[in-house]
Amino acid sequence: MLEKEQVQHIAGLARLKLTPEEIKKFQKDLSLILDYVNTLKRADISEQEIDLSQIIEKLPDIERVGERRQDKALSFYNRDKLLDLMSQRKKDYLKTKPIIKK
Amino acid sequence: MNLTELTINQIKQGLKNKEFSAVDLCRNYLDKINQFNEEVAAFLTVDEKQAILEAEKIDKIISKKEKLPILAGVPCAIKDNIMVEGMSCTAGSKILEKYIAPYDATVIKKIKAQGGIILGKTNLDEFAMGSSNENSAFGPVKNPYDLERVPGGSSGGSAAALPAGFSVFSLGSDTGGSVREPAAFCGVVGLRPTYGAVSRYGLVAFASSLDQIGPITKTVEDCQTVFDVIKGEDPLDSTSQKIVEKDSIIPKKLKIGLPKEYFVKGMDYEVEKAIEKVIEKYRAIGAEIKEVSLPHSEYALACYYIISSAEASSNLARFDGIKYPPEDNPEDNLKEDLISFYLRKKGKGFGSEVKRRIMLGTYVLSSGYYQAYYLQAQKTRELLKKDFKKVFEDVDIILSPTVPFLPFKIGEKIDNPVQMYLVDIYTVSASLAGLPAVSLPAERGGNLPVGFQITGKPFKENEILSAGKLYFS
Repeated sequence: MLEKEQVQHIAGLARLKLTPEEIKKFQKDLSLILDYVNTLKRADISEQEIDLSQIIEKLPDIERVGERRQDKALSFYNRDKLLDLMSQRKKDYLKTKPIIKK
Repeated sequence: MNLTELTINQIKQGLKNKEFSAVDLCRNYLDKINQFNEEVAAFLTVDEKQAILEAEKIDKIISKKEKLPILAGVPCAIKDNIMVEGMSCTAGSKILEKYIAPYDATVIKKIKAQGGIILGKTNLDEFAMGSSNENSAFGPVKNPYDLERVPGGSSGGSAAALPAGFSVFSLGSDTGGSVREPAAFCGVVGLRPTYGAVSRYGLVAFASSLDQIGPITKTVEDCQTVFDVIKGEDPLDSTSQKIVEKDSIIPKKLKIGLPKEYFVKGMDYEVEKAIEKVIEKYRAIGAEIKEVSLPHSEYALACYYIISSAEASSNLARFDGIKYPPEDNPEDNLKEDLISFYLRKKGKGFGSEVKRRIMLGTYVLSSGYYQAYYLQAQKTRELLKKDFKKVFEDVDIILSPTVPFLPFKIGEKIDNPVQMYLVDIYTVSASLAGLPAVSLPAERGGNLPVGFQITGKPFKENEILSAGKLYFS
């Protein structure tokens, strides 16, 4: 079973505030899931080389036929609607909470 | 004529022969939704006005005797994690409750261009994470075959909309089985296309090396029609591919592989019986049935939950309470720093399954565990891909059940995450290998639907769909 502190640590990394009940529940749930996924440790991967940057590129196993889009900035046609989705906006400035403590 | 039972082709003929108008048709579906959606809970949003407006446009084209586009006047339903401009897009989450999509997904642009009528957005497990639709922040969808049972997930609303008579076809998204599984539970056809066959631009990302958008339809023919409309390369999704393949025809003597690892104990009796019948039918029409082996199958589910959760923890980091504002809260005016704001907003905005996956994903990527879990899973994924490659040297398609169980009762599995994950045991492998797979309704013994799954080689959607047509011929 995962320790309470471990769950709290992961929740911090994931930026999730959990209630004491949730922490208790996740101790149990995550332990259950980790026990299950530990079956994976039996898989023999000793021969298997992998290039993680190629995972998506090589999925599925065929030669890519399309060409890449040029790395060029384009303006979005619905710019204002997009900016309106910010919780607080002043003209083209987007407001957030302070990140520097005085 | 019952207008809410028609297929795409029948609608095309009916409109051409003036048996009904596009507006009549649209009204019929909207009436059905108004009457029964409260019970089934398939739709989260319905836009009646816009739908009628679009249907009127189609009627004008008909009256001018102009050529009708492929989906002219066909009412459809869209999973609520795919953007339709001007409509809300909640992804089944409280954190996106107020979000209005500012653009159309590429698949939506294509459907609109072909005259499809979008009725509304369908209910789903929050951020498409689930196999029963019980994880929706807006309440579970019910299975129209038995309202006490789940419709499957995560595209539960999209699948339930068809037998309920709410829609002619739907779009869903499939990460580990989210199109195929609800299709199986609702007795309809659901296609997960090859990774890269359909653009994901405008789909709310869950696990980017797995997500695919796919059609849910009443017939295999409709599935082919909708797939042909939505497929293709898109400069806005760099993983999408140009499909060079011409109309491929399945060989006269179809070779079907049955993975021995899939036909083991633990399946519901009715599912086993239904699949046996499917195999018999293929044998009777001259197919060669062979036992094959996918030796790494036993690791697929663990592999899937590690990789998908890892990717989800990264993709869902963007929902920070600032960019896609959840409902205003008096506490938002409190003097607090940014981190406290994130913690509070995310802690309240996400439901428990989503939090569980973010936690799992964060854990398997964290220092000290990365090698043992994430890297191990990625390497095992390569082994799974090799398994399929080898089997496809020998057979044309692979046949299996879609789900080992019948649609289960609401609440039956919700308390045990591992039990719930086991629902996906037959669907995650094709997802991990990036292969196309379709779930088709099998002839059933009892009242509840059973699905069987055909998996094919990369970009051979036409082959698996042809093999499906063969079954129903």
